[in-house]
This record gives sequence, C-alpha cells and structure tokens, in this order.
Amino acid sequence: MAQGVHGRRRVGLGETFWQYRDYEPGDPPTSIDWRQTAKSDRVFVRQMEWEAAQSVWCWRDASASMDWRSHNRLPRKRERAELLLLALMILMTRAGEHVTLLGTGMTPSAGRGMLGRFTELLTQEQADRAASLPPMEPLPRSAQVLLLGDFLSPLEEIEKTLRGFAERGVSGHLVQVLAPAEETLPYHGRVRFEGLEGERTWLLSRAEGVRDDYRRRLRAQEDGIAAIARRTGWQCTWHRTDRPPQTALLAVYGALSRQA
Amino acid sequence: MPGLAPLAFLNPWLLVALIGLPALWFLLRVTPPAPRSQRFPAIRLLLGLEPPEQTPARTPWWLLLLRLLAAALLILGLAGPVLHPAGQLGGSGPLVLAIDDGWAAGKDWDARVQQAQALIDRAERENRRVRILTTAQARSDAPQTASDLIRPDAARELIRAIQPKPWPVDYAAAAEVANGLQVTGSAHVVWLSDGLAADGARALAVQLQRLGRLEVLRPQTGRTALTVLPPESTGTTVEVPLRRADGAGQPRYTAVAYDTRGRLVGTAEARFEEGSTQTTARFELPLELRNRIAQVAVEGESHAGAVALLDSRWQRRPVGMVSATPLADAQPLLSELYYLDRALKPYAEVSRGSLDELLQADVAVIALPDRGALPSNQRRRVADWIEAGGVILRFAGPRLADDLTLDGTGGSDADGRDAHSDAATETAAAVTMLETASSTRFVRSTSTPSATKVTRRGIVTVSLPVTSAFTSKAAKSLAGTSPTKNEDSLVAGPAFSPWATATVTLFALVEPPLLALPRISMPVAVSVKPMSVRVMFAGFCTGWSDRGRLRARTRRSPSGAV
Repeated sequence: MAQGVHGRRRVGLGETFWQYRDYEPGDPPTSIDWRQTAKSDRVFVRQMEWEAAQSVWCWRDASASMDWRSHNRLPRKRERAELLLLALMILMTRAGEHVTLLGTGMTPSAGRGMLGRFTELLTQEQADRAASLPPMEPLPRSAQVLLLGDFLSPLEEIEKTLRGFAERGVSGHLVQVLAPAEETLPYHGRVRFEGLEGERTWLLSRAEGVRDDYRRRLRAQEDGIAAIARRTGWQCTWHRTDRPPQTALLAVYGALSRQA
Repeated sequence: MPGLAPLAFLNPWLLVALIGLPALWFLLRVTPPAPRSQRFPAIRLLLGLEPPEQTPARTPWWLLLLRLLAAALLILGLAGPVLHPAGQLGGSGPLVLAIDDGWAAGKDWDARVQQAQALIDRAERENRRVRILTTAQARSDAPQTASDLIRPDAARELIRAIQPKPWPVDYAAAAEVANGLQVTGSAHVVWLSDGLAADGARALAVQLQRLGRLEVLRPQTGRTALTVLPPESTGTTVEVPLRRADGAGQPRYTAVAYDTRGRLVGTAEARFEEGSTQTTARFELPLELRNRIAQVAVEGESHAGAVALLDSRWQRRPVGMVSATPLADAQPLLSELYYLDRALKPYAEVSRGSLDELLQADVAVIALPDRGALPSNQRRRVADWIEAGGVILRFAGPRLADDLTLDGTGGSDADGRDAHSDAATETAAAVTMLETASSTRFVRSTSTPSATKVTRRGIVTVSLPVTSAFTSKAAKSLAGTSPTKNEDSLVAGPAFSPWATATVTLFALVEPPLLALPRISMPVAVSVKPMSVRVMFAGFCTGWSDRGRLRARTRRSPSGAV
C-alpha cells in the first residue's frame, strides 16, 4: 500500500506511462516513441504522468486533558497519540512523503533526519500551554492534515477549525483517542469529578445513575464530529487506549493512502 | 472480676460501652460518606447531569460493619481480656513457689519454668509479692534458703536463673526452710513437683500447707524422669537397667555408650512394655569396645539421672589359665582349673593354653595352677613378663610343696644365691607383710623348712610351710575380709588342703616400670576352699599411691635381701 509519489492524473514529468498522442510540430524528436510509430503509419509521442510527493501536516492534542489515563496499566492518551503520530510519520517518510508538524513552521521534508527533531519537539511541548484544537496556518492546497486528540471541545469549535482547513482546500484525517473510562464512566457512588483544564467540579451523589445520559452525550459528540468531517470532506477514526495501536495505525494509514 | 471459663476481663465495667454501639450504628447510617474525588477529562459532558433519583447516600454495609466491629474490639481491648485466667490466687498473702530442682526435674525443666512464669504473671496481675523456695541444695557447703519476698519481675529473673541440679532434692532441709517462712495473711502455695516420691515429701507438704492453700503441680503422665542404673556386665553383653516412675509414656528409648573421650562406642534399644516400669538395654559389643565404655546415657534425657558412669569394674580383663595336663583336660570336673574357671568367667575373658602360649598372648593375668617349680628358663621369661606389667596368680599345692621340700630352696636359683642363709629373716618379713596386708595375725612355725625369696626384680616369693591351725585361720580371715580392706595387694592362697602343708605364694607387683604400662586393675583376693572357689573383687582399681605404699613396705622389710 506504500507508494512514494502520487500520480496527479495529468501529463507531466514522471516515470509512469500516461498516454500516446499524435506527433505535433514542435514536439522534441526525442519524445517520439519509435516502436509504437513503427506499428502504424502515424507518429506517436510518448507522454508520462505528472508525479509529485504529497505533503502531510501532522498535529496532536497536547493539552492537559490528554495527559490522563483511566487505569494504571493503560498508557496516557497523549502517549498513545504521540506513538500513533510518530509511527505514521515514519511510515509516510518511508513511502517518500513529505511530513512536518503543524504549528512549528517547519517546511515538509522527506528526510529521515527530521524524525528525531520531530520527536524532540513532541516531547518538549508543555501541556499547560497547548490548546485543545490545532492553530490555523496557511497551508498549500492539496496538503493533507492529520489531527490526533480527544476532541471533547464543543462541536462548534471543532467545526470552525475543520471548516477553516476545508476552505483552503486542505483535506485531512482526524483520530479521536479516548480512554476506556471516558466511554463507559465506570464510577459508583458519591464522586466529585474534577476537570483537568480548569473546568468547575461536579458532584454526583450516584455516579452510576448518570451513566446512560453520559453515554448518550458522548455518542452525540462522536456523531457530531463524524457529521462535521463528512461535510468538510474529512475522514475520522476512533481509537481507545485499551485497544492495540496497530489497528488504529493500519486504519489511519490505509485511509490516508486512499485519500492521496 | 467475673471469670468466664476461658476469658476474663481486668476492667469489666468498660464493657458497658458496648451499649453505645447501636447509637454509633445509627449515626454512621445518617452521615453520608465523603465523596470520592475523581479527575476526569470529559467533565464537560458530565456537567449538568443529575442522577434520576436523589436517594440518601448510604454507607456501604460492609464499611458500617467494619466500623462497628472496630469500635467493639476497641472496647473489648480496653476492658483487658485475659485468656485462660485459671481463676484467682487463693488467700491474701504472697505467692510461695516451691520448686523441685533436683536431677529428676531436668527432663521437663522448660515446662516447669513456664508454669512458674504463668503463676508469677498471675501474682503480678493481683499485685502480690513472690517467694521462691527450691528443694535441692544449691551448693553442698551452703545451707538451703528461700528467697525474700520479691516483686514478680525480680521473681521472673530469679526463675530464669535457677537450673536443675545433678543431685537429688532434699525435702527434709526444704521443710526446715519452709518452717522458718513467715508470711502475712495466707499465702497461695504452689509446689512444682518433679513427680517422684522422696523421703520427707509429706513433711514438706505439711509445712507448706501451714502457709496457705497448697497446690501441687506434677509433670504430665509419662513425663517423669527416667533413670539409668549401674550396668551389669554378663559374659558377653553389658546390660543397662532402666527404670521409670510410671508405666505410661514413651515406650522406646535409645541408650548410647561413650568412651572416656566422649566418642560414641555403641547404641542399644530399650523398650518398655506397656505398664511396666523397668527394662534393660543390652550392648552386644566386642570385648575391646566393651572395655572402652565409660558412660552410658539415654538419648533425649538431659538430666543427671539418665547417665551412668562405668569404671574398671565393668571392664573384662583377659585371663589366661595354664592348663595342667592333657589328662586334666579330659576330666574337666577333676581339673584344678574347674572352679577357677567358673569363678572367673562372669568377670573376665578366660582363655587356656600352655604357659609359653599365654606369655605370647596379650593377657592381663595368668593363673598358674599347682605345677611345682618352674624350669629356670621359663622362670626368667615369667619374671620378664611380670616386669613388663603382667600379673601371675599362682596357686600352691602338694606339688609345689614337694618341689620345695626336695631341693629346699624353692625357686631361688635364679640369682644363684642360697636362700637358706637368711631364710628366717625373710620369712618373718614376708609374714609381717602379709599380716599387714590382710590385717591378720598368723601363727608362726619355724620347725619346718621355709624359703623366702625376694628377687631384685621385685618378685616376692614366700613359701610358708604352715600348720593347719594357721591355714584355717588365715583362710578364714582372708575369706572374711571385706574386699576393700586389702585392695592394694594381690594375695593368692592360702590353699587349704587336707594334707599336711600349704604354701602361700605371693607375687607382688612393686617395681616402677609399671607406671608406664597400662593399668592392671584387678586387685583380687582369692581364698581356695576344698570344694569351692570364691573370688572377691576389690571395689576399685588400685591407685598409684597404694602401689607406692606397698613398694615402700616391701623395701623396708627384707633390707638385706633387696
């Protein structure tokens, strides 16, 4: 499934055969395909498909809400998101794509050496200064964007961000990483919930009583994200930290390849 | 203090607080538990959610139960429970502990100490003083005493310091000490008995009862001490009798024999029949090993009563008997050696052979029957053998008397010196020596020829032709002497015979080379009667000092000859 450069479905400079066309005056004689010409009375010129490498801008949510895990045996959401992000970047670099991190201002590159630099940048970023949604940045058309995060922000904000990308013709992929407890709300009895990003606390006398309502709300959030992605031509994938990361990796990489 | 059978409380009034538990239960049910704090990233989705019904928050039932249980245990703990309080000490005065610490207490000493500690604990709870009285003497030179009235913690240390003694208890002395005790009020008296009866136990009990209520604690059935009696050496085995006080208890014991250096020589099983109180452990060992046994102990018994010490009495010495003639062997009942053989067999390993063979063999004593004078070459070898540490037991009889009468000199040709010259002096000296040795006065007769020879090698040969009056008296006195009186001499004879003369032949061992040789410790007085032989063994082996005395005596008497 890995191919480095992607055909642009037009004539141009490339290595893959695209079409034969009749010779027209002005074509360089070296472009004539003599073998094909010899088969008939006409003179053919061999044309190649225009090929260019894709540029992918990657981003992961580094906010405090990602720095959490529901169980000691599980990785933190941020760790899992960074793992997926780095794995995808390595895969894409191997496939010859140009990758960079969104928000750093670095130009996309296919060099292996850049991966170390990206890793350093990912681990350095502090949770308290990071936003829950990616910043807007002028991107070239036909660029790809890969976003990883928990996307628990209000749907309007998410839509605004994605629409901002889509208006510039930038499509992309969105991966929601959640801890299992965020999906099942496995708490009992009297619990005081505290947010991680300065939200107010919420005291529940019986946490198990609101489980169904909570799930309904979470489902609505997920459906909302999916709807926004559909409208803006994006794709989205869901991942839980108790599931193996390979599954998510394959799904996301396959989707990216198809998109390209 | 209410005494439930296994449990009692020091502060029972605190149990009233248990009434408060239902109130605590009510309070715990009313108060909701503190909320658990939980960080949660998706809190935005939770905000505004309320559980459908607002039931009062309940403490989980197990938590409630645990708290009530903790409170109940706290109250019980403060009330001071005591397990197995065993009632109260009697009386109002101190606790008097009479402890048997003789040898018999050694077996169960730890259990006894624990019992005493438990009693002292009780005394401490009731805030009483303790007085400790041990029934065995602490030292042989110190009079028996009881401790002062001491505090329980001091008593505990004192108990730890007491060790069972290797000697028996002295109840009479303990009763005297108990008689001298003065206590205020009536004491609670506990006698930690070793379970064995002894003289004066009743007197001590009476004296102890005078002080207050007497309680006697005995060891459990089958836990009384086991004793080992002095072994009996039979022909082939060493038999060690074991005794115990009660018929129950462990049936099987192992007796272990050690030599003088504490090395293991052998083991023997002893098995008590059900209900029987005595048994025997039998050591079947080769002679060399049997002679090395110095100590027999019972395995697993740690007290002095379970150890028996053996000395030379139990050693079997090899004795060689010079067999007279083939004819005598053919008629064993007529043989001169028959009674000697019977007399020696229980105590010594008897072998027979010619004199030459026996001199070669490694025997301690050679018994020489009446054979007349020895040829001079044999005589010299016998002398050498004696000088090297051997003992010759020589019997006189008609043949020897004949030989002496014929040549008139006995065996005096060894030094080529005529014995007639000073026969009278030497005879007198020898008889004096014999008298001293056997505490007997002999009737002297100088009418018949006599010969005495004291060689330079220290062999005293006294040939005494004696009258029948002397013979019977000497025989009687020798037979009647207790073995311990002439323990330092080896006396053979007198042979009482119906015919005319008897001869006393004496070989005494007097020379220093003996010092370097193995101990010959068979002091023996043999009196030969017409139809029986009695062999009496002296109680203990001859000490060096005794031998030295004998030497001095011998040297003093016939000064001219030596």
